[in-house]
Amino acid sequence: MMSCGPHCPTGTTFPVKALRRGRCAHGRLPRARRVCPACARAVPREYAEASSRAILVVGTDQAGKSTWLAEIVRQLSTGEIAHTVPGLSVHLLGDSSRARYANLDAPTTEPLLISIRRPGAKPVVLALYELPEDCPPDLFGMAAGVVRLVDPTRLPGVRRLFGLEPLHPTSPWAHRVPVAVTVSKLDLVWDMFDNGSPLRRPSPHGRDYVESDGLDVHHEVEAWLTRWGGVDLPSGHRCFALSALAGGYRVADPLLWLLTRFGALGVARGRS
Amino acid sequence: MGTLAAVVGFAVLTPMVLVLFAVVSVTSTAIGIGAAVRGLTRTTRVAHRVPVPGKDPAHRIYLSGPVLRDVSRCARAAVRAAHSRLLALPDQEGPESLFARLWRRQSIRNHDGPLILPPASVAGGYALGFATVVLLIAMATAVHALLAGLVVLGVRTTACVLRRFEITAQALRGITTDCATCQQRLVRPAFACECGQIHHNLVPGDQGVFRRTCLCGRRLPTLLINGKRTLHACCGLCRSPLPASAQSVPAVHLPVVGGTAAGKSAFTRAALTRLNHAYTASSLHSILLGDKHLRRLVHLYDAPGEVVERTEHLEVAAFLGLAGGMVLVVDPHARIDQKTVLDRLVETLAETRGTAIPLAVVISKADALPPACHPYAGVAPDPSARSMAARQWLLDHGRIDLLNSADNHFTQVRYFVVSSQGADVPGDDPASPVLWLLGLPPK
Ligand SMILES: Nc1nc2c(ncn2[C@@H]2O[C@H](COP(=O)(O)OP(=O)(O)OP(=O)(O)O)[C@@H](O)[C@H]2O)c(=O)[nH]1
Ligand SMILES: Nc1nc2c(ncn2[C@@H]2O[C@H](COP(=O)(O)OP(=O)(O)O)[C@@H](O)[C@H]2O)c(=O)[nH]1
Ligand SMILES: [Mg+2]
Ligand SMILES: [Mg+2]
Ligand SMILES: [Zn+2]
Ligand SMILES: [Zn+2]
Ligand SMILES: [Zn+2]
Ligand SMILES: [Zn+2]
Repeated sequence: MMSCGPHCPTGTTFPVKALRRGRCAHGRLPRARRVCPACARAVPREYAEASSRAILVVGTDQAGKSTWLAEIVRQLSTGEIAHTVPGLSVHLLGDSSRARYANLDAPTTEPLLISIRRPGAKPVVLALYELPEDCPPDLFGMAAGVVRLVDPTRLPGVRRLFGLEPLHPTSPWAHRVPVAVTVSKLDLVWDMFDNGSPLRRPSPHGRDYVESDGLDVHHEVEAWLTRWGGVDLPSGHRCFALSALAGGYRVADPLLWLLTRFGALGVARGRS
Repeated sequence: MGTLAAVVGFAVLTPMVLVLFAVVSVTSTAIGIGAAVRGLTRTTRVAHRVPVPGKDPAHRIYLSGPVLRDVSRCARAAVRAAHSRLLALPDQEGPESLFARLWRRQSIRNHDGPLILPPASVAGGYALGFATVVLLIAMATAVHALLAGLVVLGVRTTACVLRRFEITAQALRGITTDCATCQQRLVRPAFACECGQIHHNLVPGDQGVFRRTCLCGRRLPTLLINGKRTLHACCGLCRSPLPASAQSVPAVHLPVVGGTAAGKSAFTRAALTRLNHAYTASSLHSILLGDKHLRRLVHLYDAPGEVVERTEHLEVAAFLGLAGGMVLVVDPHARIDQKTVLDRLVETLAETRGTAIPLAVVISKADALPPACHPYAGVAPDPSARSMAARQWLLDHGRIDLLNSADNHFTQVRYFVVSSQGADVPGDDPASPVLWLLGLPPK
C-alpha cells in the first residue's frame, strides 16, 4: 500500500498497483514509502521486493540473544566485519528497525530488518526475530535459518563444574529445522578449553566463509555439548560458540554460515 | 405486355438514374471540396465558447471532426425534406406534400365520382420515388462522408505525427520538463496566453495543427520549431514560471544533503560563487552550466538538515525522486551518525528512483582541521589521487561503514575536501563536485 502525498486533498492510502506513472489516483506525487495494509507500518521497498529471509534468534531467557544481536549488527555496520568480509556493508532498513536497534532490550517481536551488500553481489535482506525458545512452532516453518543460543551456565555439566545447583530441565527441542546451535557467553567457560582448541583461535579472515574452521569448531562444540548434557541436537545442525561481550569473539560465525547456506557468501574449502 | 413494359421501363430508367446520380455526386462533391478548401484556410468558430473541463481554452478546428457531424446533419436534413415534400401526412404543418394533396383529392373524388387512376398505385409510386431519393441521398452522403473522413483523418494524422515527432525529439535530446518549485516531473509545460488562460496541452491536436486559436482570439504556436519556444512556459501544477532554457536544455537535479550544520549552505554558496552565479538565501538554485557540447540546466537543492534527519520529512521531499546525482556533505567534526543519514537517503531513493546515480562525498570545513591532519597533506593535486586520499582519510577516521555503504549503493563515488572559508586552505574547488556529477571538466 502507498499513501497520498502532502499535495493531495484526500490523504488516503491506495494499493501500489493503483499507481499510474508514479502518481496517485488524484494525479499527485505519493509519499515515498509503502505501508503494510494490515497495520499501516512502513515497509521498506528493499524488504518488500528483495527475497528477504527470516532468521529466528531463539534461546532461553537471559541466554544473550539481545546482546548477540546488538553486537552482530554493530560489527556489521561499523565495518568491523569488513575485516573478515571486505567491502561488506549493512543497512538497517526502516525507522522501526533503527529504533529497535537503538533499544534492543525492549520486549517486542518486531524484527530487525537488515540489508547486507557486498561489491558485485546481490543484496541479502534479513529479518532477525528475537524469540523465546518456546515460541509457536509454526514460526519455524517460515524461517530461513534459526540461531539457537545456548547459555552454557545453564547446562548441567557446567553447573556441576562450577558447583552450582542444577536447574530444572527445560522442555526438549522438538523442531526439525536446521539450526545453528550456538553456545553464548564463551568467555565464562573459556578456561575449560586447552590452547590447541579451535575455539581458542579467532575466526579466520578472508573473502569467503572458511568451511574447515567451521567444521573444527562444530566438532569441538558438539563434543562439549554432549559432555555437558541438557541440549538436544537436531539433525542438520551446526555448532558454534561465541562471546558477545568485550568487543565480541567469533560473533559473526553463525550468521556467516547461514549466509553461505543461502548462497549469499562463498565457501572456502581447506585451511587459509 | 407487362413483361415488355417492365423491360423497356428498366432499360430507360436505369441509365437515367445513373446519370442523375453522377450529376448529383459531382455537384455535391464540388460543393464539398469548395467548403473544405474554405474550411482549411479559415478557422470557423463553431466550437465551445465556454471552456470544456479537461480541454484547453481554444477553438476546435473544423476539419478535425465537426465536419463529419455536418455531413450527417446535411443528409438527415435532405431525407427530412424529401419526406415532407412527398409523403408527409396532411395534418402536418408546412406546405402540403404530394401524398397529402392526393389524399385530399381522393377524399373529394369519393364524393364526386369515380377515379381515373387507382389511388393506391399512385401512393405506391410516391413511396417508390421516396425510396429512390433516399438511396440517392445515401450514395451522395457516402461519398461526402468518405471525402470528409479522409480529410479529417489527414488532419488528425498530421497532428499526431507532429506531436509524436516533438515528444520523440525532446526525449532523444534528454529534455524533460521538471518543475523545480514543486519538484515534480511534468508531462509538458503549460503556457499562459496573454489573456491569462492556461493551455496545458499546447501540442498539435484537434484544436490546431500548427497553431491554435485561444478562446480570446489570439493565435498560439503549437510546436517548438514554430515559435512555442518563445512563449512563457510555466508549471501546470503550481503555475510558477519555468526557466527559458527548460524547453531546450536537459535538466539535472542535484540535492546537497547531509546532517544539520554540516555546511551544506556554505558549500552551495561557495560552489555558486565559483560558477559565477549570484547566491540568494533560498533552498533552490537553478543555473545553466556547460558549453555548447554539453549544456545542462542544473537545479541545486540545499535541503535543510532536519529534512534528512526525519523520515517523515524525507518521504515527502520529492527532489530525491528526480536526483541525477547527489552531494553528501560530511562534517568531519560532527558527532551525529553520518551512516544513519546516508541510510535514510538511500532508503528514500530506493522507494523512488533507485540509487543508480553518482555520489560526491564532500568533506566540509577543511580549514578547521589541523594542517597536519588535512586529508591532502602531502598528496599530489591530481583529482583521483585526491579522491583516494580523502577516502583514506575517512577510512582512518573510522567511517568504513559510510564508505562501504556508499560504494555498494551508488554507481560512482568520488570524494572531495572543500573549505567554504579561508581561500588559502588546501582543498578542492567548491564547484568541482558539481562539475564531476555533471560529467563536465573541472575549471
Ligand atoms: N570553519 C568552517 N566553518 C564552516 C564551513 N562551512 C560551514 N561552516 C560553519 O558551519 C555552520 C553550519 O553551516 P551551514 O552551511 O549553515 O550548514 P547547513 O548544512 O546548511 O545547515 P542546515 O541548513 O541547518 O542543515 C556555520 O556556522 C558555518 O559557519 C567551513 O568551510 N569552514
Ligand atoms: N559474560 C558474558 N555475558 C553475556 C554474554 N552475552 C550476554 N551476556 C549477559 O547475559 C545477560 C542477558 O543478556 P540478554 O542479551 O539480555 O539476553 P536475552 O534475554 O536472551 O535477550 C546480560 O546480563 C548480558 O550481560 C557474553 O557473551 N558473555
Ligand atoms: Mg532480550
Ligand atoms: Mg542550510
Ligand atoms: Zn492522492
Ligand atoms: Zn503489518
Ligand atoms: Zn487567450
Ligand atoms: Zn510546479
